[in-house]
Amino acid sequence: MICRAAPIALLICIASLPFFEGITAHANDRFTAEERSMIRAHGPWPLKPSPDPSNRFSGNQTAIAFGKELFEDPRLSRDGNLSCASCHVPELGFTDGLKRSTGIGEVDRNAPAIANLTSLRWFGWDGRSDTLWGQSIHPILNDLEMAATAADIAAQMADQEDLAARYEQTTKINPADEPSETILVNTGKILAAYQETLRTPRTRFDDYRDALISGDIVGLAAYPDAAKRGLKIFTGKGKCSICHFGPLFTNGEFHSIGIKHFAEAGRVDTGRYGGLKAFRTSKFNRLGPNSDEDQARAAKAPSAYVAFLHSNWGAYRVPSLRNVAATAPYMHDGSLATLEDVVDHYSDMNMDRLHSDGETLLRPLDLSARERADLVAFLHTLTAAPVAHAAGD
Amino acid sequence: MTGNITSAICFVATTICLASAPALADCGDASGFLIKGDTAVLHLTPPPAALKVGEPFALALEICDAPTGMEVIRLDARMPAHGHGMNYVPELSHMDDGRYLAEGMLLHMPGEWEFVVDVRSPDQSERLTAAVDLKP
Repeated sequence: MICRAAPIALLICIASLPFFEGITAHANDRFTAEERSMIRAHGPWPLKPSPDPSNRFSGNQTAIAFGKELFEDPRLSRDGNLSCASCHVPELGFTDGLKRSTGIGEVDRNAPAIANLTSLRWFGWDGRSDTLWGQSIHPILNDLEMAATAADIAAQMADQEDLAARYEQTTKINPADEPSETILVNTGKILAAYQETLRTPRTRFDDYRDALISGDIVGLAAYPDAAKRGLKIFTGKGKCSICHFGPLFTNGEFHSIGIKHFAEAGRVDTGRYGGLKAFRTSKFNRLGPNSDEDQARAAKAPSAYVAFLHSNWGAYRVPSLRNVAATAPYMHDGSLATLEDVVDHYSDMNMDRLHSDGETLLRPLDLSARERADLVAFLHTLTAAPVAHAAGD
Repeated sequence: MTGNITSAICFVATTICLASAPALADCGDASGFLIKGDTAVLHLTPPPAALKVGEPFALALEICDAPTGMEVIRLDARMPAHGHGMNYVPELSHMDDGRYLAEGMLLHMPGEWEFVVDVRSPDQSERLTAAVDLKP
């Protein structure tokens, strides 16, 4: 009897091996209900882009093609040496790899990545614009960036034969017949039409997130264990997902996270505070005279209700983490060189540097070396290689 | 005769009961949620389950039960555990149908929010609060 039972038991053991291996492999796929909700909220990807009602060129293929050319055209700068692509280099995830960007002079801020922009409420580190086209005009006029004027841009569009032809083809109006400010605004809108098409592709995280929802065993197994552990920290005890929320990994709002406020000795970068002041006086926003949006609709947009708060001081827009491994260095001033430095910042956060009226959720995470490495491994899965595949339509 | 007296007593008693009872029946439907205080009960729509993180919305408020002359004068939302509120200031208006409308609301984080409604009558005022768990 025993002799007959032994082979059967052996067979059962052999047959069960893949099952137990499966259980081992899936240990890192176990998340709490709250973590799973957060993970689910990080998708689906890609998002369906929606046209910008304030920009009549949004989605216009002629404008998109012209915008791509203008994006790389140094004639939009006063000295003829700088284009948008000088600081937003496609091969560098549409950043420049520098701590702080250099135009005509050095600016206070790191060049933000410009992909997946259509779902944002605010643009720029300080949210000085509620339109992408308004934000696109800012560096053209900024004395430290491209340092041009509306008259400079109008002169280029009217005098340069190729630009005049493309402008008229896009706007149906000869630039010689347009006021300088209208040409500047249209230039911003045409640049924005192109930038709206810059989207990052699906990532390993997106495949894992979808597999987790559908229960796809093969898809679950394809995601690195370290990244799974990092994801658990990100959505769980790290509470990173609360601000880096949703498919874009940003809630689109502003926080002070303990990065120094001084742009240089004796001079403070006021962050969102200054951004809001600039927004309120700008002619290039949704409720301004240059918007193409129905003004009754624009009057109901979030930016029409924005609050001036004490906590705005020194706060910056939460950046999207899509493509994050390709956009070093990090933070508004580029002060953290690597993703490891970023994780260390949150793990060892200096509470003395936090805003007294800011987000009380921020506390040192006190992560172990392995937890830090896991979090970095997860962040790497938000980037699809090669980076230059940020897709244009 | 006795029957008539009994009927009259019942009629008066019923009238008194109806007059003093909260008018919750008008507001207790499932399309929203209630905020109850010592002096007032308000019905708010849409319900918390319909709210989404980062999406702007308007909140309609209706006074269900309150002393004569009670008005809604302010609405806000805060995250007590985070030490902050919204980054937007809602605009409150009194509509022709008697309800109030708070426009410009936007809850930018998932988690525990608290809706804060200030009501005031000529004689008294109160701050009403309701916890809202905003799911991811």
